[in-house]
Amino acid sequence: MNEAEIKRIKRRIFWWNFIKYGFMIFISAPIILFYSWLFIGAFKGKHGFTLHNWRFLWEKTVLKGLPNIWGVTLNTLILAGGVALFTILVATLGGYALSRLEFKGRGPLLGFTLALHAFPSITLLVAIFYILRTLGLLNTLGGVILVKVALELPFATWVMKGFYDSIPWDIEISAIVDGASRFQTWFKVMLPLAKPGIGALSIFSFLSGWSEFVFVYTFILNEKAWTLSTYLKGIIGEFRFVDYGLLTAVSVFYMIPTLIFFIFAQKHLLKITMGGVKGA
Amino acid sequence: MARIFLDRLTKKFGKVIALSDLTLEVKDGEFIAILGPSGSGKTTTLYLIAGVYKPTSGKIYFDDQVINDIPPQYRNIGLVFQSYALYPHMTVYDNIAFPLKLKKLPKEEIRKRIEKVAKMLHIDELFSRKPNQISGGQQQRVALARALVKEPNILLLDEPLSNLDAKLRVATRGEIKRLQRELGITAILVTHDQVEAMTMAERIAVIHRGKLQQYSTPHDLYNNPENLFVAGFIGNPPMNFLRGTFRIDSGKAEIIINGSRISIPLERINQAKLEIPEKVIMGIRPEEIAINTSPREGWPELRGEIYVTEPLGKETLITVTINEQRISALTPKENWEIGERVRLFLNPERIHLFDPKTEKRLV
Amino acid sequence: MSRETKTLPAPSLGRGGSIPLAFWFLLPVLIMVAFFFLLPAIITVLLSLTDMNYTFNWNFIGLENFKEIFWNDPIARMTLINTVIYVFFTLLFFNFGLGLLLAITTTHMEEKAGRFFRLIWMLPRLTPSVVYALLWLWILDPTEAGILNSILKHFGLPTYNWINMFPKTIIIIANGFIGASFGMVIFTASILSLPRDMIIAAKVDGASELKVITRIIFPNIKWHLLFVSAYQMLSLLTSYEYILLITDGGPFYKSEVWALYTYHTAFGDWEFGYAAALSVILSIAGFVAALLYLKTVNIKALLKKPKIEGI
Repeated sequence: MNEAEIKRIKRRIFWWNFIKYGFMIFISAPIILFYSWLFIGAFKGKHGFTLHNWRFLWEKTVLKGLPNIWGVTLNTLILAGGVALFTILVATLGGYALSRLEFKGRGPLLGFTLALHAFPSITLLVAIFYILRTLGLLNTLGGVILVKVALELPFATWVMKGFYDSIPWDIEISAIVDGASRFQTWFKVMLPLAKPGIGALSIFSFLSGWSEFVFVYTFILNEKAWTLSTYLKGIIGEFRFVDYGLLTAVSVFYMIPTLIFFIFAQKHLLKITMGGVKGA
Repeated sequence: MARIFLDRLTKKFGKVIALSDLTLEVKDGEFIAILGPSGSGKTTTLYLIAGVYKPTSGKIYFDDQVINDIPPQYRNIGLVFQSYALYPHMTVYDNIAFPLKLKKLPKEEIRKRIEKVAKMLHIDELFSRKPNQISGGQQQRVALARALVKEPNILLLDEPLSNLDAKLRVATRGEIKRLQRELGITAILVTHDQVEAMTMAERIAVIHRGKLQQYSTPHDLYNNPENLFVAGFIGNPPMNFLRGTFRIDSGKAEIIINGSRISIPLERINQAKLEIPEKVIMGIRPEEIAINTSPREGWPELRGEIYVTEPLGKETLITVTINEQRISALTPKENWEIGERVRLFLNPERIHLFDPKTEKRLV
Repeated sequence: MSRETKTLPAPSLGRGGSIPLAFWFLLPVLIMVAFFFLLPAIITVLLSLTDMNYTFNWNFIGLENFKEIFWNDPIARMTLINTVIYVFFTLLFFNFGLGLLLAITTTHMEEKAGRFFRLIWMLPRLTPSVVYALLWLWILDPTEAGILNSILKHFGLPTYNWINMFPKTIIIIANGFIGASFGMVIFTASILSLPRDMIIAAKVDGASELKVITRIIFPNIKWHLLFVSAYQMLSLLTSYEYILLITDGGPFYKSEVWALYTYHTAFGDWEFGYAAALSVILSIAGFVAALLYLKTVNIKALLKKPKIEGI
């Protein structure tokens, strides 16, 4: 190898890096711009920096007929918390069975769970509406929680199964040899060991419930039971074309849990793989 | 073919210093080994030469050219991995052909080269098989073929024999050595197995904790180890180390070990380049000790009790306790009793003295 | 618990009688699934054979709804075409195409930079849907308050009604930015899980980065490529939330997809029977896609037999 060749190689490397980084910056720029606008808009008024957009926090109501932001936020908390709690409860039980217990029909059930996970909610929405109405659960947060949990369960159960799978069999066998019943083993040994998985799943479910829109929009017709998602949709209708400051401020307010999660869970975010795929 | 020169090469991973200030040269066509325990930095060195890692500081020269910034694909080296790293989705033939296809050589030329290399390595019957259909030994030879087929300037081998069973290892050792000589390629072997290094390489660079300990021929490493580490690492069974006090008294040089006096020929002491402190470590190899023979002229004596015996087939390794220290010796005789009192005679020409603080060899 | 005598404990909890232990663990899941998957599925099929509307009367009309959809409904036809266009282009260019491109580019650069970019691309998916939609509405706002238009105005150019002009393109891009992150995550994981030695071997053999990607990486992540495309196709087929929020199917059904049409029929027109029929058709399409998806998933590996038997 000689001088000229080395120069040529170095030049080639430089241009490839230029293309790579250039492309990524170019394609990611819209996203960075979008969110910058969101934040800037929330604090921008006619004459520069302002907190006027955030008046929904202290005014009783921004528009006639619209509920107060704090009541709506409380609803959202109830929804998100309920979804997380309920999902964990059911998924930690079911996931254990799928992972560690032997029973007839285990194979088909596993396949069935996987298929359900891919099953879309829209095709059942009409019927679910009817069911909720019959049960008197329409217009209630409880109804929405149930539906949300049910439709998240296949995924959540699969994720829990995955976490149980990664616990070595030896530990469980040793608990049984020590005299524990299957249930005790689950409660005292497996569950504590699956804590990281449970933690991840509960955060995921919480955020999922926090962001939920369609079910609330469809099943809850009474504004008093609105969550932040429908509240925001409601005021978009009124303030669109006019006051993006208010809209973006409400959006940023709504996004607070998401942002907290985003900032603190960066490393883990990138490790999340969807159920059913063996990932790194 | 190429000369390699590593100039004060250092590699850090975050705060961890994997390799520190390594300076090494490899002559054109030479076969050297980089020997060291796991974690010593030998694989790091190999990857630096291959271009997989970039040096934190220092320079790498191929034939007087600094090639620090050149990525692996342009360095024209052959690399044989410990794991073989064959392409699972390609046949044996395609695996070997891969580097040639990348060079855009004509099909005829490719076929010619592959057949030549495959014959040399006895894998010409395996062309249509996939890697998961051949044995470990065969996989290794395919990996070797792939590395050699592009006629590289340098051949790098990362623990190539460690995944082979013992018998195959011995046979392959000789084959690789013969191959290297025939092709005349500059070769670097990385291993933790000193037998591998000693039998295959012309010179060995012993590395420990990222630092070069000694770089010379196997003979030299065995007879003239420069420090405690090399002395203890080379040679199996390993060298004995005993702590004692050194003293020159009325024209006689001797070491006192737990009361016994070991005298060393004065000529050897005078050859020492460094000053000998009061506290020393004496080193002597098990094969340089005679047991219970008639006393030999000039051979210092130690007495002790047998602690454990280990039959090795053609000889026995017995470990003897001398007050609080232990010393091992090799002997052809077979019947020894634990607790038996024995007399050990040390070859005075083979006694080494080490400075416990600097760990360097003095005599 | 005495440790002196180590005998296997007598099977407890559930083995007495014929109800296996697993049943109790699975009961909550099974109840939820039965109530919110199986029951609705049955009801949907039944509803599709009625003309139920806001009066909630069960009035069976046989296959009339389906006949209407296939022969008489121009909107359904339009929606069908829209759905095909939407799924095809979003899948090809964004969910699969861009996802793969992002994965490859970010795994072939400085690790920290790659991770930074991947993080950015996770942002749209994590944002609540209404907020994401608001952002797009703001950008595309036809008045001067809209971001695009205000930029144009700054240069003295006229304003446009973007949603009216490019409804299909907008829903493809808006959904695409979200969809790309799924492929990106999966493909990144699969690329990073390839044996490092193999990649180094290819480089040493003389392969440029591009050659490594095409000759070594692609052939070894085939399974993942298949999985993502099958799964995302199904997902796109039934997606409607963002479309609802941004264009709401407009203008005049130009961006209406089948799932959204179902939604509008049910909760806009309150025609439950007809909507159910539309659901059934979508379900069949989804079922076929799910079968495809199941076939690509290596079921055997995920079904390892439990090691503790009998309890």
